[in-house]
Amino acid sequence: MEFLTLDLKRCTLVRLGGRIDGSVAPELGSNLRNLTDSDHHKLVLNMKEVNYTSSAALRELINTWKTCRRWNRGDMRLAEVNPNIRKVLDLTGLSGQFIIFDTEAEAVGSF
Amino acid sequence: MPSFCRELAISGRVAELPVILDFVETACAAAGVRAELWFDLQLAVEEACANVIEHAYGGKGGDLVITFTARGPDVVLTVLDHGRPFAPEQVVAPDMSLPLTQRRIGGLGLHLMYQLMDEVHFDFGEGSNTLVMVKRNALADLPPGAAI
Repeated sequence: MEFLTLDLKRCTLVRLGGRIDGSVAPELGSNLRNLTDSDHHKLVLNMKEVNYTSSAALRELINTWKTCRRWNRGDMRLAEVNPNIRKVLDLTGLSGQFIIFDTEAEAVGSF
Repeated sequence: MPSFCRELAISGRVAELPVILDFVETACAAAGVRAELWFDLQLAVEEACANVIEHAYGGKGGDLVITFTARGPDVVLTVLDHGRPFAPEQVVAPDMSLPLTQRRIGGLGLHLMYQLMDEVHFDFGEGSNTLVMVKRNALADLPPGAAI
């Protein structure tokens, strides 16, 4: 799994990549918690290079989303989700809950 | 058409999930599964195995046997374990009508299995449990290597 963080003016951009299965989901969660624990609550996750995700990873995303939105301090938004990942988000009802943008620029600019 | 069957016997540990996913991907390629379905089959198998690892074996490990069979145009995936059985009908599916903040976190894996596969059957026997999942019409029209 690739996890690259960029601190931008409006938010923190995270570029994820690879196959995020149940064996790496804890690492994803830990990395995201490191961000929220250090007051990064406006997050954009660019999913362009993510070719696989399972429910273990989705649970980490849900937890991060909730943490970011607590007390209206921020949000976690997604960008450039490929069709397979989009399908998983649709099947689990998350595409109706997460804000998803077609481009990274739009997602960053939404904050 | 000769039948196609591959089997993976593996230790039921989270660290082995990548091996399981690779097994399904390789079997898909060898059997001639339509490319757009590889993701569905991998995900369904991971969710099934993750449930066995966490719930049937309580995270303490145990044997898993995964089989991939081409049966006519269909793919049949089975997961065999020797852990604690459960009652799938008692697992509550996530309620999509609720806001995310009000939804229970659990049940996502089983829900995905039911959504991704055409048939999902559990058989709980004496000391062993077998999950059978079927994806219909999963094979491409031509077997791999066939002349056009």
